[in-house]
Amino acid sequence: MINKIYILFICIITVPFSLNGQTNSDVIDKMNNVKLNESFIFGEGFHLKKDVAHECAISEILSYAIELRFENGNDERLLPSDIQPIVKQLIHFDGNQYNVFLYVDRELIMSMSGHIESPQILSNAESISEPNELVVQDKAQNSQMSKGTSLEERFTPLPNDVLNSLCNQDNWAEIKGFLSTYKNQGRIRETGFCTNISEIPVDAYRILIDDKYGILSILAPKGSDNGINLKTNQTDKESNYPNCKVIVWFK
Amino acid sequence: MVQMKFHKLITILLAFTCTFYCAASVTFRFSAGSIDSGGLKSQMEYNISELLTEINRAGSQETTLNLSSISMEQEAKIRLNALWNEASHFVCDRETNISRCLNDYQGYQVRAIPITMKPIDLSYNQSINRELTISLNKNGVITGVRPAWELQEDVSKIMQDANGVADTRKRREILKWVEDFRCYYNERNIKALNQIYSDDALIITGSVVTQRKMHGDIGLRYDQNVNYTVQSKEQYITKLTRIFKNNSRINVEFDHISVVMHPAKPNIYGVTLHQKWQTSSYSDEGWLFLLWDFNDPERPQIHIRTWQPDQVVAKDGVFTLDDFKIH
Repeated sequence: MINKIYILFICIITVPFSLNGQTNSDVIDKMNNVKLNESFIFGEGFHLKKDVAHECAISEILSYAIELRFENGNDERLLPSDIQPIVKQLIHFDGNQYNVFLYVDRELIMSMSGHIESPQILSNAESISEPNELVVQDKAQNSQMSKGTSLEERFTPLPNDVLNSLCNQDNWAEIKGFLSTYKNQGRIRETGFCTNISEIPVDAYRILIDDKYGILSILAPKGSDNGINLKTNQTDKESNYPNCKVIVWFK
Repeated sequence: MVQMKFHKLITILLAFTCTFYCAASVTFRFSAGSIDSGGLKSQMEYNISELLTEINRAGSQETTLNLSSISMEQEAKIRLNALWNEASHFVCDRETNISRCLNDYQGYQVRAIPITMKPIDLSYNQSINRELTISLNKNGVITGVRPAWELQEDVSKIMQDANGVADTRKRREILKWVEDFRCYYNERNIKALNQIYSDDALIITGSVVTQRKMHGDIGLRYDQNVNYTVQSKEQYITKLTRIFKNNSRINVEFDHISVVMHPAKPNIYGVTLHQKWQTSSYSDEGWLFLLWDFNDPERPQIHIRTWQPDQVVAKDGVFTLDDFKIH
């Protein structure tokens, strides 16, 4: 009887330990060691699907890496594809979900080259730059556009909600962000900046801006409604605005 | 006699063993390099460890939480107790938990502590394995304890869409506030909701109205129109107070969340998400659009809340930032 109770007791004591072994406590220990080691940065994801857990971990390690680099004065962008090949991976099946743990050498992350933001026109909605910081659109592309096909063939009117949003803005700082968003969404194909009317593509809408970055007028493409001011719905043209300092066009 | 004594010893050891396994102390530590060493770090680690240990004790023994010795804001204790007593107990899966210390405007955040939910009744319909999020103020006092978003892929997508470090931090902040905002409904916390909506908040609710019309001489035609009702904050809060009073249980779930920064105003964000609303007497599903103002990052406010049932969204589309002019 005593022996039976003794065996039962031993089982109670040891089973949880052996179960712990089966649930990969070694992996958790290894994860914890990495977390406590300053040489590494890590990201962790939990999900029923392994690939989703992996994606969450990549997202976390990426934002961690970008923050660390930024704090060290490096604002070059990193993409998931930059991190993917260099991360080490630990996977633990935690209850009913995957725990994907990714880690990478901190020094490697800090020293790797990223992607310098190209000075694309209106690409960064967060920083509101002045019109003269914009880059002139490739003129060759514009002149190519102006040859060949007629305006009617080329002109694609933009959706009313896009035009209405732009018309509701009163200054360049506001309108710039909307242009950027619509361009990112593909609802506006191209944008450009110029000081000379002849450089504007014939099928482009025009935003006339004064030296205080106020919006003087938004004009429909020359060939479509031939100089309709979209803010007032009246006929209008550039020469009505001698204080216009810059024109931003979009289509 | 010897056998009797041995029996007693075994019983005592068994009881001890069970207690040990059920309520072993839980240790929390910050990951290396995520916070400067010092008193505050140690204090927060101790505080979180104490909390997790108490959670494991109460969760294992199926009892109420005793948070009296834990350095935690009173409001946070009330909210955690409400979650514990009305929705689900839970236990920490790991004896040692190590997480990054994330800085936010109010203090610090700790995320991704794996927990197992132990629902108190059959109405719980979320995942059993989840992660705990803990917020602390700048003095290291715990200000919030919540199971994190279920849909981590939404979170991952939101963070990947961030435009730079400042936007990343704000998005993390937004997620925390949206999590809090959802819990305010579940906890029936009218005070917090009253604070989070700005005084001039615009509350818009869409509904589909089916009109029966004569069609020629022979039949009827049904036309569906979308109606929008606009309420003030005061009207909305009054209505909500009544709902909270009349329902013993409210369960609000969010998914399909997306976050968009206003193109020209970097402190204004539009958050769109799908909401499932369940009370003891009513349930619905629809799309929420929330316009958040983070100009005061310690006290963000909602200026616009729109709700549209799924069928309205199918007909009219969901509200977005573009639908509102912000001065």
